[in-house]
Amino acid sequence: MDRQYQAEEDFRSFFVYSGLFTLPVWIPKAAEGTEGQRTGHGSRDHMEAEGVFRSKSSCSAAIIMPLFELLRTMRSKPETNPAPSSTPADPSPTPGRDFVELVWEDGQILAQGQSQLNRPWMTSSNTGLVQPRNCSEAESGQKAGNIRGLEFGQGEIGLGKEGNAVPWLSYPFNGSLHCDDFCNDLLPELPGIAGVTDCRQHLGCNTSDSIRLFENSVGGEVAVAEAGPVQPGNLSPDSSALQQQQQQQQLWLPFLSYRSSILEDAGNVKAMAAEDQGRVCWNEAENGQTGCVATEDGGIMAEEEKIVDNGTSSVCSANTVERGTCYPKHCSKRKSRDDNESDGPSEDLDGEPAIEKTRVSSHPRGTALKRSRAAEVHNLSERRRRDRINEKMRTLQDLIPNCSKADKASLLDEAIKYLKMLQLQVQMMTMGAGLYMPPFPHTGIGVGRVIGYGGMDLNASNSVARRPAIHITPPVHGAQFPAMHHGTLQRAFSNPGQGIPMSMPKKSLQPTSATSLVASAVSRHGAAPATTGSSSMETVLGFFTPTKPNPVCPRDQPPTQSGALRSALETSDTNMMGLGVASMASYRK
Amino acid sequence: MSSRRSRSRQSAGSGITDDQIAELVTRLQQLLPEIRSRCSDKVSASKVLQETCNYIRSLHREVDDLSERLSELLATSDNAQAAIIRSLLTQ
Repeated sequence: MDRQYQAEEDFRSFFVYSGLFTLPVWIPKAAEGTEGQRTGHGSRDHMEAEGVFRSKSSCSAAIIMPLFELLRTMRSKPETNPAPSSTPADPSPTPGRDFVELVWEDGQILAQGQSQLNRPWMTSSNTGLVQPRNCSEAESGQKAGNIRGLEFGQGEIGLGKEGNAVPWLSYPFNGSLHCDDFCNDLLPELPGIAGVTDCRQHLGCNTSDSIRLFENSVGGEVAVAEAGPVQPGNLSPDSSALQQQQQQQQLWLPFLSYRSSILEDAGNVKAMAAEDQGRVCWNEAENGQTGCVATEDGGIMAEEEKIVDNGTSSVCSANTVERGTCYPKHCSKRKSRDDNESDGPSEDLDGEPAIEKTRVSSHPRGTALKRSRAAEVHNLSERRRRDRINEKMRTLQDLIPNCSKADKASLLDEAIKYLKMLQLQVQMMTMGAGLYMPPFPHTGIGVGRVIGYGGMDLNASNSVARRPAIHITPPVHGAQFPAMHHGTLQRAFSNPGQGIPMSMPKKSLQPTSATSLVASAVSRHGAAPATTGSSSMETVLGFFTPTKPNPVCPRDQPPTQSGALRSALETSDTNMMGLGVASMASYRK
Repeated sequence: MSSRRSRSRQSAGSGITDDQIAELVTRLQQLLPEIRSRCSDKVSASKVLQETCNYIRSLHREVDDLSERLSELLATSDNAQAAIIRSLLTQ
């Protein structure tokens, strides 16, 4: 215990002095390690874990709280610790420390009470300026409404208000209820309660007897606190018991607060009563083993309902378990304050909708911090990557003519086909150009190969996409071209990255006539259909005619050029071109 | 994790799986001499797509050049050549 306290004090002092108001999110290791640590009250591990946890919570509370507030609370509360006035660091561990999660959402800061169940970590508001009002409320003892989630307008957040910060510590349980998806992702589900520790150890020191002991539920769901603070008589603000109750209430409140509406002002007393009832219920539930602690909605709902029945609004009552898990915070200190303070905030709360569990921009501490950061970074990078890919997709879609496909798969499919078609087209055109190089037999060889590989395949299968990459050897050695064509072809092939894979046949085959070679190529591929006839000629013409949908560079090809080519084709009556283009036409089918 | 789950669910609903996309990208990649020659197996999808775009543009340029040249050639070619080709293709 000494050790725990010491740690707590150290933390608090550190944060307070450092003047940090932002509350780092802390994920208690204890929570994560629940199973193993759950051993027993006495087990050292367990104790340590709790100590850590608790110390964190206290730290958070201290951090959130403005210094003066802290001092005041401490003074007000004689019970808690000696020498509160001296420094904030002094505060002995007080039983009721609440953690409020401040979430920055849509420009507003939301304070969310976290149920222990779900969240192991605490979140803090981003800005140091934010002073949660909740504190005051909590002090007054109405905690319920307050804790629940207060939305603070930004304006409200101003320093002028002396809200006490209510940091709250969530306790990781199964983690389903209130946790956002985000939280769930980040946090492993904890079957056991980390916080199951003995209340006595932590709470007992400060708090009165009210909290006696927390028992760990066997199910590992939650430690059940059998506490008994529920006594109407305790209501008197002065009594420590009351304070404790309040604390407890505060702790719980966040839990229930989500859905339930807030109490009216009246309410301290009511709230208290309600709380008591709730506690009782809770205890009963515990006995039943349901899950008071249980993270399941059902359990919680039930509690809420009970509370509602009691006439209390959102205040949840019992929370022994949570209390145990949450570890008391400054709440006890706050109690010193009167109803007055509480009233204001509670009213505000009434109108407000239940707190949304939004994606928390939390700043978890420790492992949680790492995890969340990693997750955020991952999400961010993933989103960027997706954006990049989508952008490329759009570019690709622009490049592919007549591509109306919206989804990625068909677009990619289209791109593949179009790419193959383009490659083939380039081959054919190159071949055609080469074919007209009169004196060079090698050219003919190249042509034959091209046809054999590409054109016939295309015509035969009519499915370009299914074919593996077309390996086409360039038909012509660049150097063999006559000077007049050399430049152009070189340009075509000069860029290995852009062009067709080049394997320049240094040693060409026997110089034979282009005719025989082409014929052999055709026959070799048996499929050699005669798409190349006059109909193909039509295709060719259509292909290059701007009036028809032109799959090939529709923009870049000026009509005049097409016209020139067309006339040239007509005049020369080249079926060869027809063959090549016919294969391209297959792409369009 | 949940997002991943939901995404996969979503894509499954649309009938297209991530695997299909990946396969298409791989096939596309094989068509790209730039990347294919790099012989590194691991290429990001965005890189493949970018290269595809570049490649398509380059092919467009080539086609333009070649069509220009072809028209030129056809216009200037003598009948003898044309006859040879014609006979060849109409066999």
